[in-house]
Amino acid sequence: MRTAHVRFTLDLYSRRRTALAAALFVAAGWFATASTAMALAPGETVAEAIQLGAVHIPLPAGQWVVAGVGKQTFDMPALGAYGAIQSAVLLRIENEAVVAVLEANANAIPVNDGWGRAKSCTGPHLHLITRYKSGWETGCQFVEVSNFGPNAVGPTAWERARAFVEAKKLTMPRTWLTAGFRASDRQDIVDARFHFSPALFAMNEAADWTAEAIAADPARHAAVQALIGWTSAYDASIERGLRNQAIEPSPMPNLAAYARSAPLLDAKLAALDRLLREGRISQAEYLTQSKVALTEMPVVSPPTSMFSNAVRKNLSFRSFGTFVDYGIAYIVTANRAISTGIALTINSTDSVWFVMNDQYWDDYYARLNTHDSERVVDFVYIGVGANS
Amino acid sequence: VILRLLLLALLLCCGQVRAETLARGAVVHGILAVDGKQVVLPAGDWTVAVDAPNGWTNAGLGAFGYIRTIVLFHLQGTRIDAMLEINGNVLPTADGWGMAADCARADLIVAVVRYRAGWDGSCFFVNHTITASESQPAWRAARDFAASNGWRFSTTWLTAGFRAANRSDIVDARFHFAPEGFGIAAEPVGAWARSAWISSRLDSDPARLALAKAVGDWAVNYSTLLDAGLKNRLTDVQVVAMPDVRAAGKVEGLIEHRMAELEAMRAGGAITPLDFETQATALRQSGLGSSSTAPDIGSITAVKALSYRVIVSISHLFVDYYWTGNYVAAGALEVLQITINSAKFYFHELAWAKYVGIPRGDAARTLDFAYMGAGI
Repeated sequence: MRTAHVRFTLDLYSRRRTALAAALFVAAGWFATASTAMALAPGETVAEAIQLGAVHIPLPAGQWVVAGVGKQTFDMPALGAYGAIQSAVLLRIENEAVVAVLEANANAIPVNDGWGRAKSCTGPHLHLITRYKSGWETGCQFVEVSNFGPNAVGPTAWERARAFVEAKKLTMPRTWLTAGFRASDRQDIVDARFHFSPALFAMNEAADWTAEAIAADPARHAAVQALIGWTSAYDASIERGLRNQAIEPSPMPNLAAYARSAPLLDAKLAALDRLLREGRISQAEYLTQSKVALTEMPVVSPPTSMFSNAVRKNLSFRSFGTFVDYGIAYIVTANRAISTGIALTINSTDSVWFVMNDQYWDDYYARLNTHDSERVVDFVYIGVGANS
Repeated sequence: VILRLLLLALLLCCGQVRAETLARGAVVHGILAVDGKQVVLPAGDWTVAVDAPNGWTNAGLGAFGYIRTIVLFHLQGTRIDAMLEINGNVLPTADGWGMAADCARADLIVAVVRYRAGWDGSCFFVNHTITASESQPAWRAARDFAASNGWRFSTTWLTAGFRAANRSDIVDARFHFAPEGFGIAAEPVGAWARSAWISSRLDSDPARLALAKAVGDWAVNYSTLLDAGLKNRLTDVQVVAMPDVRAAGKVEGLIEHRMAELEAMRAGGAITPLDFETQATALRQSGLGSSSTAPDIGSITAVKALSYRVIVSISHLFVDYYWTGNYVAAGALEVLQITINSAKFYFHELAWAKYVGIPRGDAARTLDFAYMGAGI
């Protein structure tokens, strides 16, 4: 917190700094979080979206059954007062068979200073996109093949879901095509994994679902590509859920118009079309923003240059800086040889200082601004166990 | 397939733009839904004076549709005793917004940055606003609307301004309170700097100081509500009063609210007594954690330039003397190198950060829209 200027002392400001930060940052927690956090009832049928903890989680179109709710055995005091990590397992049931499983985790109470990274956002996966990754936020999506059956271990919510499956005498496959999402901001975290039966894509679950086998089989490859397309589109719904914004139902991945390569872009362009039709933006604004929309979706890419940013910057700086150094030296000495010697010596020594100085401050500010970058926040997942 | 494409496009499209514009003269109260965000209105009826584009553009922020300006009047008889100007994006973006310049000013009654990074931020301030002349189209329209209804319009207002932004959305809400509504006489001044509301003049004016303090206390509470609205957490049970001089100093016990929330979870079995005790202890000892801020790129560059100059200046002393063998020449070289190369370093660093290097999105930026009374 930075108080630029306080003309008079508010009562609140007389507390010590940490208390002030905390007190000022109510973080919206006491408005609509804990009271609705455990609203899901086992056996209940839900559609469109659920409220889990402090956020909404969208559901693909259709009826989902709440099979288990609980909380994670998760403890990380450094995060602050988040209450608990609440979990829910929802099932999509068709003809006495479970064809899709949603395992979702979210915080009960908003925090103040962000969450952390997820191992699942680093791969390896069949598909992985990290939308953003900053000190206070993480946004990633992935697609992978999961293997778990009704006897698999998992979080409390899954244990209850297993009992539900057994009581209802439901069948379920052991191989799943999983679309996972992690989104967190300064206050909240959503970790949602949709597990889809290969049968939804008219595929045999008993087939070989290794990456090599998928690549070699056009049918399995098409099924995975379909899920990847759906995942990319569904990402926007997860983001809206993190902000508790209205979410329009999306179709199940096997029914989605997954052939589109850029569903998010299409949605933004459609929205701009509507604003233009309603006369809320001009033709010029429409054209400008339609062009901007083509490039606005962030994707974090690791640096690929063989030179660090500091080295490349130094090369740029020296390319004209050496001539300036020569000029300064010549003004004082009026001697070309000495001026050349000074310029070249400075060129060599300053390059070392430049790179060291640049890297030091970049690291310093990176640590300052991405203070939680090393903090991994993972939960217990179905069939995975504790992996945090 | 084509039908599916069209269906999904329609679904996605409708999810993005839901709100329609508000009709002039419509009366709203409670929680106002604005393009996927909520803004809570203090108790009473608020009359829509303007709902129009702000006119602000910045293609660098992405395709946000337009910045929508909504002006609401709160009436006491025929006098407008409070106005609310709301600015917000219509479409969500993907790479964040920025903070209001007023939040960083040192000459205001109150200016507090609660947190600030490249992609999110929250701040508030208390200032006074002069509306003796108004050049912004939205505000001209608001004044015309007030005049057409015979409503009296103050020329000086005490303003509580709020900014909340995250990666996708921004809300800028500025409440302007007419001092006349609090028993303080109208002030016929035409310039901000000549007003009696200048912070340094308040000590000698108990009435104005009391109102400024009341609005400051009110702003502390309201800023949390704006944050909540940005994430659509507000519920109808929340009632927000207007600032009250008699209630000055009664800032809500926000830690206590959070503690009660934890207690409710413990009582409901959602957390164990041990979890409760651990988190409650942390809450009591250190609040809800730090609220960190990110420096802007200019500050980072200045720090780099300064430390680099200190290091290389020492190095240059030896280099210059080695080549010239003369203290005077080495000294002259040193002075020139410090002055010229420092500027060279700074501007190269800025240019690199802006045009060439890896974008530092965590360097917080400042952006402002067109506001009532700005520049007067």
